Amino acid sequence: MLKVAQAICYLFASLVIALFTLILKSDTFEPRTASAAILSQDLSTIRVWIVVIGLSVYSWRAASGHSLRLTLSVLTVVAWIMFFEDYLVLDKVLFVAQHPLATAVQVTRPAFLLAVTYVAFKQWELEDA
Amino acid sequence: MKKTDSSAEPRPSKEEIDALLKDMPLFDLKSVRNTLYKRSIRFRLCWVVLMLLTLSYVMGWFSGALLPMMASSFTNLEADYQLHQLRFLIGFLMIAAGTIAINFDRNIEPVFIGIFWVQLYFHLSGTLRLVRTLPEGETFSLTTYTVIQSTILLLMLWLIIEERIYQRNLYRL
Repeated sequence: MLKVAQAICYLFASLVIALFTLILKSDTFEPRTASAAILSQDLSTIRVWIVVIGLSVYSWRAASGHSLRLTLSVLTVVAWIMFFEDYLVLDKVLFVAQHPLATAVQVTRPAFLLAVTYVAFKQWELEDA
Repeated sequence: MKKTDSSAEPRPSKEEIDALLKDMPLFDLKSVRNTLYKRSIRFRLCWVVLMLLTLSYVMGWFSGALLPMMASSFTNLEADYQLHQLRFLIGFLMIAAGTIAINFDRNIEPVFIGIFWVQLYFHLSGTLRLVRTLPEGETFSLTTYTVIQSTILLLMLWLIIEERIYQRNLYRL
């Protein structure tokens, strides 16, 4: 179960990196206003960096045998906050991309949130034991 | 079949319930103070300054003094205003989480590390948003925002360091 959850997390992170690379490079999305465009670009840039840094730190700590529970907890909390921001606010600003990658990110996001929360709780349990 | 009469069962009186709950930290507001007194004076100072900053922020928000400095005032974008409201709410939830951790004197360091990273995300995205939306020559809002957010981050970092020192000393004993 833990391996499956970890695989979902890795898959989602890869999809996000691929999607935002595509968005930032191609400039094909259509926000409602110029100001909204800047907002979505800025947040996308920050988020993709968070995903890249989070994934790198997690992989490095996992490979070197360091404690992972705090890293995972922080990443989980930040992931949930980003989700709330998107769901409650940015839904009205951001485009709904028709690209298959965007659909894949939207579809896998709830699974990712559940998976990352499970992995974080499991990690605390494993390291406490 | 014998029926049990629940009214005949002995029930604790209100005084007995109060006496039982007296020592439970959840119902004892003195627990925050007790935990703070166990920590160093620097830890207490950080906590008090953080609370004062929060209080002044709330006062500034409700008096309308903060409104002209917010990104939504420059962009007139509803999403900016809503984003601020959402982060305001998350900020209070984080304060609640920190206070609960202090109240129970458990997991203070992990909780504040989590709060620190969320606050850093808010700081970076907020600063970037202001940089991108502020009119030419308007630096007061940006400076004020950056100074306040950086102060909060530094205070939390200090709090985490102090907690780590306390736990290390406790472990040595």
